[in-house]
Amino acid sequence: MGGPIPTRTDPILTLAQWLSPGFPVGAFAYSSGLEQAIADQLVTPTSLEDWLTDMLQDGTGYVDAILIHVAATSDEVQHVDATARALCPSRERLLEVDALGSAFCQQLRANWGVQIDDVAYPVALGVGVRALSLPIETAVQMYLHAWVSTVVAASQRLMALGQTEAQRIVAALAPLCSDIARQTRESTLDDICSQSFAADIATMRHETLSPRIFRT
Amino acid sequence: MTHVTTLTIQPPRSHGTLHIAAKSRGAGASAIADLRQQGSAKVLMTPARDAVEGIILNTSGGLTGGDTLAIQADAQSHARLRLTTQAAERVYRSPDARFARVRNTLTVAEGGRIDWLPQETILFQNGALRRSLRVDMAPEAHALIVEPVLFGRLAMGEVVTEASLLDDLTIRRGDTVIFKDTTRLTGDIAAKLDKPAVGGGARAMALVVYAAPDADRHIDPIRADLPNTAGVSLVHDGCLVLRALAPDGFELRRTLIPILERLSGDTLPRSWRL
Repeated sequence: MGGPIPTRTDPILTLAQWLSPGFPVGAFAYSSGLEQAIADQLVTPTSLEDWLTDMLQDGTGYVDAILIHVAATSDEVQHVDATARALCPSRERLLEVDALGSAFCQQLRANWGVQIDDVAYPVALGVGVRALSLPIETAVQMYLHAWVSTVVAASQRLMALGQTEAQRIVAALAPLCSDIARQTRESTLDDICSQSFAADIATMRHETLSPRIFRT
Repeated sequence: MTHVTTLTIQPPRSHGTLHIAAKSRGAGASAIADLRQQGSAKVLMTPARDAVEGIILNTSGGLTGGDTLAIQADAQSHARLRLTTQAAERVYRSPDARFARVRNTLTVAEGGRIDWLPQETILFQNGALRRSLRVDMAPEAHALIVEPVLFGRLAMGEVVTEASLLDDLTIRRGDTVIFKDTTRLTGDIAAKLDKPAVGGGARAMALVVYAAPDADRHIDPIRADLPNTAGVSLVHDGCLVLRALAPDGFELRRTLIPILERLSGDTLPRSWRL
């Protein structure tokens, strides 16, 4: 990868584009196990915020935050990518990071001239952030916030969750997204950990959920 | 002038190392290739037709802060090695906030197989355990791994509100890390386990990994019998991962035993009976 790609665009707008629901990675097709957790009545409109708090603090949120930070500062992208994949607790979690990552890398190559092989989604974001010299911590918090928005929107299709309450939850979790982005600033791959056992089990059980509208 | 040396008196700590290796004797039989045991780690061999089978004992009766235990187990080319433990491993209160440290390493050569089937690890109030399990396997090898953990002496109503469990599992096949799991539970673990996406109130949990060329054919029958609090996934070809949560050790065993019977080919050691 050469130096930063010259651009006149404000870095925040690049991140806003990459992490907007309109960016063609297809994030809307994945519920991160929420579809199963709602089917099992582990998640209800009143417990969704707690469930997502756990996933941010003790699950994929925390893991992905470190992966983005490390990918954005490491010269060993392949190693970070291999670690990201090995950490996937289930087939559908691997599908998520793989499919979203490939689509994201395709955009990076086509529209930003970033030389990148297909890598896992959080790793791809980290590589893009580095290539364009974007602010890492801002990228991490926006990534987490985008994930919250996506899975809350998915939940609205799966249970009686009104749009006002849905947006209250997204707003309530925003500070946590910023906290995790800050806490993981100096982290290394050795700091990665995950304790969201029940959420991981939900992603496993989703493999045979029928009928279903989300890929995970 | 008298020179005074300050001696720090510390209670005795237990240390144990065990190295066991199995070799193939041909015709599906295996024999011990190497066995070295030191300190609190011992192994009792049990007769088995198809494998070298051993029961590991920690003669210190449990782990506490400052204790170390290191087990290296190798299945050489086409050898089969099966290991369990004599009893649940208890992690007692650490008097000085130090961790008990356990480092286990398994290697499985081409055509070999290891079944790593320890009984439960029980983390007591104020216990602190840092544990790693590394598995290095050849592309055409088999490994069955289970690590069950219980939080507190449940029969005595113990609630673990202060303890630490740092637990790492890394499985490497050839040059590739195929699975990695890192758990960090510290502080009020009971409160943590009560969180919905963490434990949903569970006090027992287990991770099972079956890494083998025939992992694919076990997924459907295992899934068919799982309770809602457990899940199984063929994360990628040749790597089956199962995670189970349960209210206590008894329920956890009820879930695990038929799965381990199946994945071990009906060779689950006696200590695993209910």
